[in-house]
Amino acid sequence: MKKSSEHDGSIDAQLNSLLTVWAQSNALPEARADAIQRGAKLEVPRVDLPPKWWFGFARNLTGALTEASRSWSYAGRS
Amino acid sequence: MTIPQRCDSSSLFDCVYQRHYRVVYAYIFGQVQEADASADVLQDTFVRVWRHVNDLSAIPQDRQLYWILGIARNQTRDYYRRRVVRNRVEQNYNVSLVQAAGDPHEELQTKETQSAVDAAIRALPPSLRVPLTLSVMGGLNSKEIAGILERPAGTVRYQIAEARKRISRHIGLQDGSEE
Repeated sequence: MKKSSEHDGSIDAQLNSLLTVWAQSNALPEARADAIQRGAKLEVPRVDLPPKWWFGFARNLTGALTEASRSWSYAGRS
Repeated sequence: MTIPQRCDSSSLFDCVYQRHYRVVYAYIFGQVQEADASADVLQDTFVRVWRHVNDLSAIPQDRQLYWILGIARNQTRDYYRRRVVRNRVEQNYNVSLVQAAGDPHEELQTKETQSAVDAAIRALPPSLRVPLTLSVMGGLNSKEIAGILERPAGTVRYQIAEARKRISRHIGLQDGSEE
């Protein structure tokens, strides 16, 4: 019985060691990990656009200001 | 590199990346099984994380990994859709095998054993391979893996034990008649 558990323990130890080597050999290299981190940040983060009404409001405001400035300009001449 | 316990908003992405990339990579590798392809999928995943970094800041810290793994899952599916069927097994062996110093016979034996381990892991069904990869490569315990894979911790422990048993049998560490 004892022999069997020692045998199992030895198999476990061997397997752990093989799996550790397997994990290390397939791990992501540090340089690649750093490149991925830097590369991702070259993309432009998504910016949420303001709601549609905001564009209408901005257009109206711009129109109104242009009109007002034109009126003041004429008023100044006369 | 030391990983801060909490991430402030100015360095959120870097902090989250350093904290989680190994686990995300292990999760992807468990499914894709190719180092280069896994790195590509990891990159696509974190590009999306960066694009949605504002959403990330609104997620509680203990849920951020699950959110990222959700993106990784979608990216892995996309990878399978895009993938042209090809066999890169040999190529990966050449890149990733650990070199044994000295004795050429020992070196050859190490390569053969590692190839056998690799083949045994590839032969596992994903339900066993992914928990094993998260454990061995991601360094997670069964409770953490259970949270990621949304299955009981006891099931994860059984799956890891079963995966180990199959690998042992495959590479001749354990007698196939043992059950």
